[in-house]
Amino acid sequence: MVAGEAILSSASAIDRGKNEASEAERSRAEANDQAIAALVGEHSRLVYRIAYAALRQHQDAEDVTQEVFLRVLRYRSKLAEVEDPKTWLARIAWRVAVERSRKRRAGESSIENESAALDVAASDPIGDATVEQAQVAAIVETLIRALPEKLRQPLILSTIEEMSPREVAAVLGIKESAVRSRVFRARKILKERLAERVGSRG
Amino acid sequence: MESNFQKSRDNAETERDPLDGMLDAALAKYSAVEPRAGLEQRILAHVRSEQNRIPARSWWQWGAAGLVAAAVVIVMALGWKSSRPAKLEVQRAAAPIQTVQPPATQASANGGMQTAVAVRLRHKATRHHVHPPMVVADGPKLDQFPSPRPLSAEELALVRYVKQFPSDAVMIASAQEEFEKEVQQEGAARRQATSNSVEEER
Repeated sequence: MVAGEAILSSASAIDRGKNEASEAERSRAEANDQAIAALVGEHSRLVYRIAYAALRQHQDAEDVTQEVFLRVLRYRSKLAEVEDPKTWLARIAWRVAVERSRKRRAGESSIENESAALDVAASDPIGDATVEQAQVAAIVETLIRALPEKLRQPLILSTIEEMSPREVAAVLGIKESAVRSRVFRARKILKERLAERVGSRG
Repeated sequence: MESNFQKSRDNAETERDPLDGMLDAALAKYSAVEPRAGLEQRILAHVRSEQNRIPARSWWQWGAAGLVAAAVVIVMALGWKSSRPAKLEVQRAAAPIQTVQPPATQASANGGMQTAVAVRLRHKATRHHVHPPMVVADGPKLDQFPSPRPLSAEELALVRYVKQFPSDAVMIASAQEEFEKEVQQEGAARRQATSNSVEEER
């Protein structure tokens, strides 16, 4: 009789322990869900913009954004260890986008040829003041594509308004001073080439 | 002169200013994109569906990983067994230890000097071990006995002959057996006769 009671009490203790464990697990999962939802709410736009800056296509940018948050889900148990979620997400987004861009480029014919890109830019007519801005934007985009990668990457990340030079540096794994100098050089090159285009038209 | 230079620089700057403005505007627009409406909801829905899939998939993945690991271990073990180098079979043939034993007559004649030399030589012989000859097996040690080796050309020919002429083969085999028996009997009789003669001589 005593033994039976002991077994029953130990069984109920085990059951209680199991329930507590599953409850703890559930609450942890809920906390993770909330954390992911908060990250999505706060940073999905930034992630999207980073992806768009690298890929220049809305659909690809959205795919990359989804992929980034799926990666976050995979590391959900370590979310508490992340010190700066914004930079962390930006870094993941950049990596995924660059990876995708490389794959896409491998499938397409090379668009790295600078002179070809500049020829396309030169063929764009500039005249009407109302369309001038759009055309300049198109030329600048082509000119950016023709920049060397070392200058292009910090430049396009710095065009994202949410990104500070410090964050750009953290994403690219370089010094903040390097980001500033590269952006400066990239802008200088762009301005010179834009002046050539505008001057040749004007 | 200096004022002219200043003027020209100012002119250049005023010329460049609109370019700067154009560039800034173009760069500001470069990444100022908005995702399609409902991006957050789409991401969260995707994340949740993936989250539901993960536990079910993890069991399957663990099982598959376990199977793969077991298969790898088995293959490695088999590979290691079959490629194990043949053991060196050291034939422990008792090599005769050469000891110099001078005849008793000489020893007595020469006295203690000869005996000392003999003892020294015996010690030397026992110190220098004669390495036994090493016999290396022809092929790797096989797990099965008799070892499953392919039949030789003669054996194959024999098998073919037995298949073609089974009655002849049986006859030949029985004749061979009888012949061997006779040879054995003769040998036994000869041994018996020699032992008898030795006893008679004694």
